Amino acid sequence: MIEWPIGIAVLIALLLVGMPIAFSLTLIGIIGTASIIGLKPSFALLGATFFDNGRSYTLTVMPLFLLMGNFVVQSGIARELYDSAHAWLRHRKGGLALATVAACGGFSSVCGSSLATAATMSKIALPSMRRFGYPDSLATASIAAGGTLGILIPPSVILVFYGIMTQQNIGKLFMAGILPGLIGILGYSVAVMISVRLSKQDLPAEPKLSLKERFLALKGTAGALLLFIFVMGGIYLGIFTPTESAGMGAFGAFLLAVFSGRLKLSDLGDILYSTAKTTAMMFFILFGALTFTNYVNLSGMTSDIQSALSMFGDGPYATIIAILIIYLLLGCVLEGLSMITLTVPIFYPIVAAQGFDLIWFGIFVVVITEVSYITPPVGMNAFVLNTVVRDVSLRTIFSGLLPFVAMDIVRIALLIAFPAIALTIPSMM
Amino acid sequence: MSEADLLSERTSAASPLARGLRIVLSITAGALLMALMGLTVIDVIGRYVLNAPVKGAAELSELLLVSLVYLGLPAVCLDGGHVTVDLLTKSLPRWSERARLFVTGIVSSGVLGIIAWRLYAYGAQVGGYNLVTNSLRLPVAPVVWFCAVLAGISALVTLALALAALFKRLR
Repeated sequence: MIEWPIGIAVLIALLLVGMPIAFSLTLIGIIGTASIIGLKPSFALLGATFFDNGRSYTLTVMPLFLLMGNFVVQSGIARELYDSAHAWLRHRKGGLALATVAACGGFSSVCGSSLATAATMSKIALPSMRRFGYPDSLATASIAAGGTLGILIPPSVILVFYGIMTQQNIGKLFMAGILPGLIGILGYSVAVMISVRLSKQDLPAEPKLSLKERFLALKGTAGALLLFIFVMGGIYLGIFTPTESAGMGAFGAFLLAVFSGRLKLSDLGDILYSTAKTTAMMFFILFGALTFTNYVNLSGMTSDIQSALSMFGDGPYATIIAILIIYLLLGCVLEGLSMITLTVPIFYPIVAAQGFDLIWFGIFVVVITEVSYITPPVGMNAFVLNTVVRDVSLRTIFSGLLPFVAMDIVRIALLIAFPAIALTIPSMM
Repeated sequence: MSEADLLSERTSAASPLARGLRIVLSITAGALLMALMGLTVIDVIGRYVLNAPVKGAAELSELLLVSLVYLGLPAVCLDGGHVTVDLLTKSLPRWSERARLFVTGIVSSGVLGIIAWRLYAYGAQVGGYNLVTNSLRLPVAPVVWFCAVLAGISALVTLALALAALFKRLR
């Protein structure tokens, strides 16, 4: 039997030399399992892990929500949401950045990916903020931070991932993400106001629109709102299973994209191809994570880490804060999906044993993952912004993100102090 | 640009063979994806509006999903779309890049080869006791073999890219 620290060390080494995370997890999973129960049974498990988990009705939500998100990106909804939010917020100082945050929140309610949300909103919100002379740091940071809401406000591809790994109800996880997501929008708005206050530039506020004009502008939210109510309402009321709602949502988004006139046949081909690719990429990470989980469960790693964590102090809160610190550190160097697949199999039994609700823990992990998207040196959303505006340095983007990260820390503290923030809505299902 | 592209920074293969494979994969995977969506929609409308759900919709979805996942796999390998941790790799010396791509490619290809082999064996196993789906009685083994073949193709694609890394000029 190879002691598990060796397995983890080899895993980290493989990851650091740039071996794909899916295959690193698979390889260590196979070898580690073989070292405990023998090569033959380890291989015997593999076929079933890599086929049966793909043949899963629950998991069809993954490609369908990805597809929905990709259609929504093409549909022009982002522009409409941004214009509506702008009509309501334009007369405030930093109104364009506030509108960006609000529109990101709205877009997240129909798109389950943070990277896609940030990439889409950057094309819409950035040009106008730059035109009005917003500092680059604030303009890019509001999009990068707002974009992170994509994985928290349902639908969320990451929550589906978590739900499968921990055998939690995906519908409940989705519902649990709503309130923390709204708090996230509020927090980021406060961060914008702080940035505006700290900035030396005097940002122009535009003249206020009449109430009538503002309500008329709400028309632009209709597409996203209908889609959200239809998809999430269906899950909440128990009319749809998550799979059914994902299929209907993808179809609804498809119709929106078709009627917007923006979906050409070549776009459809690209969308389908890239959705298939993302699906395969994510499923192989999942298969790898499940293979790795077999090893984790057999190795006694969980109980060893549990006793190591108890050195931080006794009781559930000491554990959760220790885990929080580990996540914040890991989040600096790992991309979100990788972090979740590497850590959740190890942490969730520990957290469950301490009496925490696993729905709550899912939201906790996702909010921390949001932070990981916007913290240096590896902050995927900052990278996305950096590829859109080449002339703004990563340093500028990360410095602009500081107030947003601070508000995220506040949000995590609230989530720990008041678990009801996550658990109220799912408990009403 | 997909999530898979946003997450990776590697260049993708551009030979005629690669282009052909990409076209085949995008048509087949695209068709399966639309079928998966269409099937769900028809099932939901059938159930709630017409009171006539599609027989075996769930098990068809399952087989469509697993086929879709494996059809996407060679595409991910071809376009370098697997997620990697690029924390250290960016600061490694340039001369080591070729060797690094070669070694990680060979190991990845080996893992994919093992997966293909095990899927093939698993197909034989479920075929041995004639596993069929619940209501439509569709045999499962051919789907497993289909996945095994695509995993095998992915292993070959990855191997070819690993070898190409040795000879290709680095940008």
